[in-house]
Amino acid sequence: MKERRTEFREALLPATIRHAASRVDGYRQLWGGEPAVGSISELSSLPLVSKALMAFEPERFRDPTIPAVAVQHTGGTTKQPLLVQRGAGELAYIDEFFRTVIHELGYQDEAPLCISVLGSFHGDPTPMPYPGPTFKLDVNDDYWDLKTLLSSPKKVIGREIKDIIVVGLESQLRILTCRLIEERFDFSSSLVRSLHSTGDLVTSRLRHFYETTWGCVLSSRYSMSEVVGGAEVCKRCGHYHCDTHIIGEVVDPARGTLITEGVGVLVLTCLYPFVQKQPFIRYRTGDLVKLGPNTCPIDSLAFKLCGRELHSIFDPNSTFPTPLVIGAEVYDVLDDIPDVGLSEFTHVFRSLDGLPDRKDLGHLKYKVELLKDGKNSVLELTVELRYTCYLYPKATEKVLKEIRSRILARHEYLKSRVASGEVLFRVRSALPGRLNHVQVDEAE
Amino acid sequence: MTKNQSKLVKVEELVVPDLGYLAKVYKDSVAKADLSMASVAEASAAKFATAEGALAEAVVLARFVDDASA
Repeated sequence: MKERRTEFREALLPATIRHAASRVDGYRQLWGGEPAVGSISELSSLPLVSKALMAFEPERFRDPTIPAVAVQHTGGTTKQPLLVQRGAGELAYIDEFFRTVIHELGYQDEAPLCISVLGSFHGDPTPMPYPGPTFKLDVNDDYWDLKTLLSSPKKVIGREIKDIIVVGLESQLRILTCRLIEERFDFSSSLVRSLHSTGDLVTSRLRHFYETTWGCVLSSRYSMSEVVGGAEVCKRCGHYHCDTHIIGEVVDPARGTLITEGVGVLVLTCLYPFVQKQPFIRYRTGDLVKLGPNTCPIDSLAFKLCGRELHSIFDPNSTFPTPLVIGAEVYDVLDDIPDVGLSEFTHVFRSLDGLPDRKDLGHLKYKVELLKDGKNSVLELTVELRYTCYLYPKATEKVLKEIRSRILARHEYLKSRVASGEVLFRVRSALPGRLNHVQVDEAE
Repeated sequence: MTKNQSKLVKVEELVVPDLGYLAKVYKDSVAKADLSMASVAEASAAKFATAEGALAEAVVLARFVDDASA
């Protein structure tokens, strides 16, 4: 299987490079012509392309001979939204290709009903075939009887259904699940056999919440708006592998050089003809991953997700890329502590009825910074609490100590640096709504 | 001429292997990735469905970030 993935990728790599070098000014100039790259091992000779570079002059990274028929955009989590254009040829190719794969797999009649709760973000979606019936559900739409849809779908969609999978943005899955709980849905009557989330990282607490509430497994898919394709957890090795139709690499965050162990930034290459109008070649995703062993028979690139690069802090004094804190770990710790403030869903779910408190549906409010205090490095985590800290000094002190202790327990390297006095680790609180303004208490 | 080269076709002046051949290689690369046929079907189904979702990540998140830093 590993060989088949390599065969697939290397079959399309030369055309991918030739297309970009011959039709896309940005790549031609960046590479100084058409580079001799015929295999995946040679790909690392090309420079990385960042979102900042593409966003600065997007037209330079598009094929001007292909008319754009769909415009998509990234979410702007890096505060740098990127417009992505797609042409009719690539959309048609994607559709035809996956229809052929579905036919090859030969299980059209076995596929469960796919209920998707993806929301309508990010412009025109790339249409993808699915090997069974689909039902797109807007969690804001109270027209549909959710309980009937999930337990007796035939009454809603008019055909016999054996089982269901629910696929969606984690935020939308959360709304759906909370609405069903509020409506006292009997989850044991549901035909849902698995949940599949995309978008945000799923924390340990949320995974436990979903799996115990629904009584089925939740799988979390890695994907990003710019890239047609993503990564999924391998049932053999437990790590993520990239889809066959993209190439993944992992690089040192500071130097951009390939690494084969440790924590680095995921770099993705989209293959022609799946992507034509706006190629992404050695695209720095901004997502940190921790490399796993390269021994899995499915794919030699295996990794765990560590969150956004900008949410982690690396030790500037280390010669090898070594994180002091990993964004995903910090988020996982804070997510399990209900005192930490969350943003509301006020922008998107203004009309949502049935959920009395939407404060538990947002994202955690905190920030991590590495500061200098004389010769010392100070790692400072500021956490916004749900209550006015100075009115509850004992609770505040207790929660800050708890956060500090749990984060140190998950970061052995940081723990050793703190113990040696090279790094001071400070956890501070902020008043509700004042994350960037006021800190009252702290734990060191 | 190798077996693969015999399947080459021209696409917009760029030579890429035939779609049918690629689909077979793709199928081989995923079909045995999981341990049972049922889970293969489920994983593939989810992959196809979420590929559309790949383009639907959280604009929400951006708003949360803005909200958090406001």
